Amino acid sequence: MDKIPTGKLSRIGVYGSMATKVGFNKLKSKVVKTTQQELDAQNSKVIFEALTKLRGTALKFAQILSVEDMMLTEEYKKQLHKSTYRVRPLNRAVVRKTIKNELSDYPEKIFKKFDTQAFAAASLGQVHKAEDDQGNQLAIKMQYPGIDETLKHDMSMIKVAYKMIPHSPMVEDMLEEVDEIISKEVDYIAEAEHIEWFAQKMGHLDIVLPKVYPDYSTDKVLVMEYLQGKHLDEWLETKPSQEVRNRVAQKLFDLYCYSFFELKSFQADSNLGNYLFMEDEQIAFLDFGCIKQVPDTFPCAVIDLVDASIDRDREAILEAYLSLGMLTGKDDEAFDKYYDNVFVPYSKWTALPYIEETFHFSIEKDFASSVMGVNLIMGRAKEFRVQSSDYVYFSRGLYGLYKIFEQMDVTIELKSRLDKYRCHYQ
Amino acid sequence: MKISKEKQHETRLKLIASAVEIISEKGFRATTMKAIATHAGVGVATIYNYFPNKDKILYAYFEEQYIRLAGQLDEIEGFDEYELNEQIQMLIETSLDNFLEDREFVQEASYIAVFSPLTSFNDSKQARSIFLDTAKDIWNRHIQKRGQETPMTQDWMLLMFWEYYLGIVAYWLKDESKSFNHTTQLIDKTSDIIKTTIENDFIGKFMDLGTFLYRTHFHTYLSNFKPKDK
Repeated sequence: MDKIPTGKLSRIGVYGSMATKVGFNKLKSKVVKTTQQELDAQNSKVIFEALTKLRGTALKFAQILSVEDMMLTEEYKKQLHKSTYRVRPLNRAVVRKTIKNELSDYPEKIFKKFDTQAFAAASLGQVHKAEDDQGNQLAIKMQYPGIDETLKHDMSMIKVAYKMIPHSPMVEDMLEEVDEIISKEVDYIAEAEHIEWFAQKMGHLDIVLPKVYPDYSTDKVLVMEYLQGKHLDEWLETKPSQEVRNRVAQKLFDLYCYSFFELKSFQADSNLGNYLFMEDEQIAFLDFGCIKQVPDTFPCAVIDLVDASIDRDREAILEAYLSLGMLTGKDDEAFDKYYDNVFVPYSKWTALPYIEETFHFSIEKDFASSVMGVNLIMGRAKEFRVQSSDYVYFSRGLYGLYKIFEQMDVTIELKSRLDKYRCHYQ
Repeated sequence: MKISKEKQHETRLKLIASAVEIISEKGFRATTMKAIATHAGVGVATIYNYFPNKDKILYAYFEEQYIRLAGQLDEIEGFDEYELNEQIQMLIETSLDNFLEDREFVQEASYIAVFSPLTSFNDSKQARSIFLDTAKDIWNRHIQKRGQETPMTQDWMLLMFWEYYLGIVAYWLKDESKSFNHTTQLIDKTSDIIKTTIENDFIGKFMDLGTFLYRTHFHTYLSNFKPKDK
């Protein structure tokens, strides 16, 4: 069984060898004429291997970037994407010790049943099933001992390693924030508070949130209610009808809108694993590790951007990007230069679902991903820097949702929802 | 008056507990047999029926610890299903966990009873063999499960394991990380190496290689060796 190198030295070793290998590959390209794509493929494999070996921070980083699909090439993305699924479990002795440390006794003494094998993996931890004395089914999320300690070290190493792969000043601008998001992710007390906050704010809506057991929870162990449900793939295998899929997708979108426009908060780390499809067309939201809060004016600016994009109003688009913090105000020239091959296609992506009353995802092949080619150009452009990453996270969340809708092959109403909030704001 | 075995054991435990408490507080040197006896509510003469000197109490502490440890592992549900590295980690972690409340004492005792150059290998024999019996038991069950043979080097490897374990204890005593996370990580990594070594019988293979080289080359060389005629 491969192990995560945790000692400072062995970690440096991994990063070091990764950097050397990348460096060698880069060097090789000067000697032999390798195509950029082949080179990217080789480099991304090396980086991916190193990242998964480190698990922890690096994997989280990989995950954030992979869903983000920010400015990485296809090959990098492919390798990074794998990271979402391939995580090694913690050994059972460590699991036992973690519970003992955090809850002051061994799992078998605290719970009526405790499954030492995790049923779900999280990048910075894993989830176990258990049952308490009252017969409540529990999901216990725990993190690898010492992970919080290695976070800082890892991130600084990643920052170094990141310079070696094709990247953009934009991503560099965001590294600090990724850093912050990752460190929030290891604070389970904060996560428990987030769940309770959302439960309070969204409790009246048709949404399922896991109940938290604060008495059992610490910053390293989070005990929640175990929810019975299916992940998207499994759910789709049960062949739900078109109507059911439409309804469920609509609900998902409505909930996302509510959380964004009304609460001005949303899950920043949006991935497939965050949603659970339950019986009676219910949806559960699972992961509240990183919540992004945006300023009050932000949702208005998003609506402005959609409107400007629908109208193809060049000035208004520039205005919207400025108020979203995606441009700094000193990049007018870059805006002009990239208007046709970045901002026009990006506007199309932004506007398309909101033009007609309903939008059929998957009617336009790879609609959701089409934005990535644009992102790539923007990312490679040295001219752009971001002032605030709010929009990056927002669009990533939206992209995640669109991907899910495409997979579900649904027709849903988006325009009316936006209209609803537009009225609300004006 | 004859004292029952149970009563005897009880007194023994009481004396050990009393020694742990006083030694933790005052250190080994400053602690007298008399103080231990008085603290335990035992006659000063009586303590010598149990332990001829302070050193023996230290060893007795570890003996009792390892007896308890074996019982604890038996109680862990599904322990037999664990991977070898997990079992090793469980063995060591549980032992450290038991030491936790007596950490100062273990610190003091380990120097005198284990790491001191004056320590005789035989003094710690009893405690060591209780610990190693548990380790051997784990190992043998593993061998049985995998349908392997017991390696000839088993006893020797167990002694190596004891040395490894002492190393971990020493590391743990110096570990200042939160919840001794560094120790956990160290065990996690090393137990994996042990698992691989044992499951693939690396030691046996090296010995095979050694034997081969000895037989075919060194031995032939020796038997062909004739002193030069004068």
